[in-house]
Amino acid sequence: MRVTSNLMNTQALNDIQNVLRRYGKLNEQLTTGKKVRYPSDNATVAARVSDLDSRIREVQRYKSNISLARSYTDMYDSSLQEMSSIYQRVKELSVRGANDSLSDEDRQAIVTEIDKINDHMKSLANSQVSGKYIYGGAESDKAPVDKNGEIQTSPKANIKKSVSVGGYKVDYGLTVYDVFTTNSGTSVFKHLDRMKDAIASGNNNAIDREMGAIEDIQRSALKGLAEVGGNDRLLELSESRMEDFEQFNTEFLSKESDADLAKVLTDLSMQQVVMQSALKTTAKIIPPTLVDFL
Amino acid sequence: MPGMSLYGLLNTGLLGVYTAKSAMSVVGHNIANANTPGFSRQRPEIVSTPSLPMNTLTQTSAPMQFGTGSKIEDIKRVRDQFLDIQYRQTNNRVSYWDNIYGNMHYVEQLFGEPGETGIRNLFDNLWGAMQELSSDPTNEGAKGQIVSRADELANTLKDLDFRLSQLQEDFNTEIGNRVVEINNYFKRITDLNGKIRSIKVSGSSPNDLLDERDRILDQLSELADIHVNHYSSGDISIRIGDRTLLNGNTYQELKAYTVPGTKGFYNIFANNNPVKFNDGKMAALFELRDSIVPQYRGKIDEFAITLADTMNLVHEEGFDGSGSITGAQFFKDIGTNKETEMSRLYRIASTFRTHLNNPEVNLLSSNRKFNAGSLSDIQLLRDATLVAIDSSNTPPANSVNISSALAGNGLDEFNTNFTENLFSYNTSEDLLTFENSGGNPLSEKMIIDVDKSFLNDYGFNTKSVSAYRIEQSDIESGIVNFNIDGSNITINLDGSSADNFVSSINNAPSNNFIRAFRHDGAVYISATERVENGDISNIVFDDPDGAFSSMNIQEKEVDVLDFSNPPMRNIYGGDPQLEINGIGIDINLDTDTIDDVVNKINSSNTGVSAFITPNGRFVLKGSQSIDMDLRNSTIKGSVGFFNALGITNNTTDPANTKMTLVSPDMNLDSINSTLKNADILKLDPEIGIVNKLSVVDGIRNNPSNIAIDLGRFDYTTGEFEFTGPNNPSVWEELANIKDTPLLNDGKDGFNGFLSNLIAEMGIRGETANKMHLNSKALNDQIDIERERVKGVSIDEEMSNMIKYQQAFNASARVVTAVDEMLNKVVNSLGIVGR
Repeated sequence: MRVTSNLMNTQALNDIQNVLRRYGKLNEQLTTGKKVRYPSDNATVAARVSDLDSRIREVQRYKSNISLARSYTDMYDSSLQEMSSIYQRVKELSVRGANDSLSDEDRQAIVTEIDKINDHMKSLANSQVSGKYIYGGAESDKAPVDKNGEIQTSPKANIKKSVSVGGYKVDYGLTVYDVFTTNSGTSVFKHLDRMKDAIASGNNNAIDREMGAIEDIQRSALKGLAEVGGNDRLLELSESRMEDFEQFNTEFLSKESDADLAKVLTDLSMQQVVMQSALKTTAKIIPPTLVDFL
Repeated sequence: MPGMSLYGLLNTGLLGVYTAKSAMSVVGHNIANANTPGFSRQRPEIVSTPSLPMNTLTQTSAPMQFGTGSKIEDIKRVRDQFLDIQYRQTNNRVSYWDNIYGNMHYVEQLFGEPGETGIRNLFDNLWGAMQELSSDPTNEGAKGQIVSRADELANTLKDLDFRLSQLQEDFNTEIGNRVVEINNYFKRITDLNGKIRSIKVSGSSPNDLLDERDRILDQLSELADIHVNHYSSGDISIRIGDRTLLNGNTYQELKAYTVPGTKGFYNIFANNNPVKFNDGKMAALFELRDSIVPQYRGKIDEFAITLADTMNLVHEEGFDGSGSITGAQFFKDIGTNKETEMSRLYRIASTFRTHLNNPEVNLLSSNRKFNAGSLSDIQLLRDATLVAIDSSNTPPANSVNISSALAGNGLDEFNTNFTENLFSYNTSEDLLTFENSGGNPLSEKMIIDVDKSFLNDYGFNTKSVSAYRIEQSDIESGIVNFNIDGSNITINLDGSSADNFVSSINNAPSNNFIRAFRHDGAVYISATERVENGDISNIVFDDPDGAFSSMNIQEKEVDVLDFSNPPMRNIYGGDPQLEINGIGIDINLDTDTIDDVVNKINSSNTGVSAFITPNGRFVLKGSQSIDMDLRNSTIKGSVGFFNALGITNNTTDPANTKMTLVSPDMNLDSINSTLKNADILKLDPEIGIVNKLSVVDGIRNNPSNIAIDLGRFDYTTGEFEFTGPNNPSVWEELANIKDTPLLNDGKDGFNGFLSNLIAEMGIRGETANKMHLNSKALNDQIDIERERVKGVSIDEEMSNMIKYQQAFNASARVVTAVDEMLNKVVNSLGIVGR
């Protein structure tokens, strides 16, 4: 087979080009730290990396949704605790007010305190955070209860706030209908008014009746607390699950996309050896011809 | 004179000298051109000169052939034509793939995926902003963020499209330039052909000219897939595709003409006939300009169009935070500014909620199968009591209708006590239905399953609401009142007996809102359909004398029939006759809901897709496979069906007439008139709709105007009502579009679409790269083989040089010898002893 010097040159050059190309690719991995920089480097890995990136962003979004929701459940929790202790106080006052031997002054004192308590309940119902009424349902711009104790939130706005976590919704909101009405649909503010009137007039039967209602409301406050606690626990679990997701996905992403530096460095040094020997032999390959010997 | 004469011998020697000298010059030429690109080594063809027959002294009868020397007949170049053909073919491929890969790499750099600046990240940011607003709907900052993220995404998409269209223009310019280059090559080749032919006619090989011609052919093979025919006259003809463009002395000049309707894009013609390139750089340029880059621009368009239209359709159903603005779009109108016959019909939407035209629901179906022989064969597992409440029935006592049935009995037992609604069972279709048999439609009633023991288990759609339960022993007299819908209702409770209690509630003046009934030793009070959601906990009672509170009322959950997603028969009772592209879509009026119809259309694989907006509007769209143009499909159905869907309002033709909604045969005017009652969106036919993508000025300047709340439908007014600024239902719905399959012919959501785009780009680039490397390796190998044949080997030339040099010396010796012999003859022959 005929071999010309051009031929040897071309072949040697091609081989050096190949080595250089491999070298270049490894170098790129080293400097960027990534195995795959463009989709054409490796289409399946690139698509997976893109998916993982997107999923991690999604999980981070869910995490911030959850922390917002938990800030609300904290608020609900603290106002419900306060209400529970208020009802306790109301019961004490009612028991005292049912005492026939109470003087007018004492009676008046109890009535005044219950009035104040009612006002306090109304302001609790009208709690705001960042200018939004937290018990207002969809109508967060309207005070749920007016100064006369009438509930102003329309029934169509009685919608629980929810948060989206991993594709499903978790309801965590409470509205004035949930917390400030009894099982029979009467509002706590009216009950406190009636209790006040009953004590003022000394109507023990009425006091008894209203006491029943107050106990009813206290029970639903406790039920509300339990519900809020349950929601918070659910959110907490979801939060830690999202943390886990984020961690798994980040690990997976790193495994897929990050260059294994140890491997790259080893390969690189091997390619360097190959390149050096290629260059050396190429130098020798430019052979002497007959010319040198004639 | 017998035998070779001395002069003949002299001549022989001389010829030898000439031969050696000429051969040496070939060697010298080869060595001088050892590194000339495209040079083929030349070899002298040394042949013997014809011999002379001569008689010799010893043989007078048979003449002997005396050789007369050698001559160089021709100097031929050593070249393997076959290898040249192979080389040019692989060179085509190398050049093609090189160009494809190089440009694909540029395209993927433009897209910037995977990466921070890519579309995927920007879309995820927009989605994240939607989630933020869903969690915190009154946060003005979150509203501003949605606007700026949408703007970012729109601007990036527009920029990308601009760069891609620029790339197309660059390809076009390059095509124009390369055509000039090809014409130049043709010109040079025809020149060479002429010269080569005239030299060949005189019998010798025009080696250097042939080399030059081969060099040009090699370069041509980079540009186009040329097929070369060699003729014995030395001419060649060149064919591209099936067009012979060059033959001998003449060639057809390639001309680049712009195609009307494109932005000055060239197509190549020769002699007014089109020329198609199948390989090489030209083929790559055409494919990139006309097929590959437009495909990516098309994907960007599909993304932008689907995003804009879907967001607009949902957004315009919402109310802003103050409840005063509705019907506003989020993105500016991407529709066409000037309608022409070529405009694409992208989307048809009904202008009202599908059920609105006929909001009455009269039939509900169970989704369970019973395999029974008749209604009485379907037996109850537990005792059940159903209560039908219709507040508009008079007198009020008739507004409550109770029907009970015991476990083990058939369902027909319910029918014995129901006055206005009945269960039926169709044995052949295995379908259990509950139907209105007189009186008001089901949608104006509450059908209550008090013990939650029947309706849901037997396959009916139900929802849970609250009702009040009071033990009979606990009932008392008293007064309660409540405010609702602006009126104050007062009820005088009569606690003397359970029956009186019930009638005192039911007969209370103006009371259309609560009803009582007796069941299971207790009295139940339920809201009527007039109350929000039919749920009594939405009513706040005022209990001045405390009677209500002391009755130990329990709040109990009951099941109520849910008629919000009824079977199609309630929407249109006739045969829909729905047909797309000749394929009938089978709709079962008793079991399929409007959602089922949408699913059936989407899975019909016709390129037509459907969906229902959150507030119930029916929408038809054209997918990518039909170029986002419904006019490329044929949709037929009955007049009444399309009327019921809200797409048409045809009052002239009978309802069961089968009409054509769209078809490729309909011109723009007839489409406009058929669809005049629908909300249609028409697009320009050209790619680049994305350039219209932009947030509406009213929202960009004041993000507080963003729609937040989808509202809720009020069956009494027939309108949607604002529920409040803290109900982000618009964005909860829109956040779902991440994965709703609206793209790629209904197979992918936005998330999947982008993922596929990246994968497809990667595969195309990866393939191009690999093909390029492979074909380059093959091309290099063939080039090496060519080199083997035509390359100059210095060693060989050296040894040839020695050969010819020695031959020269030897021939020169012959001349010297003959000279001496002649001298002898001339000067010494016949002189004896002198």
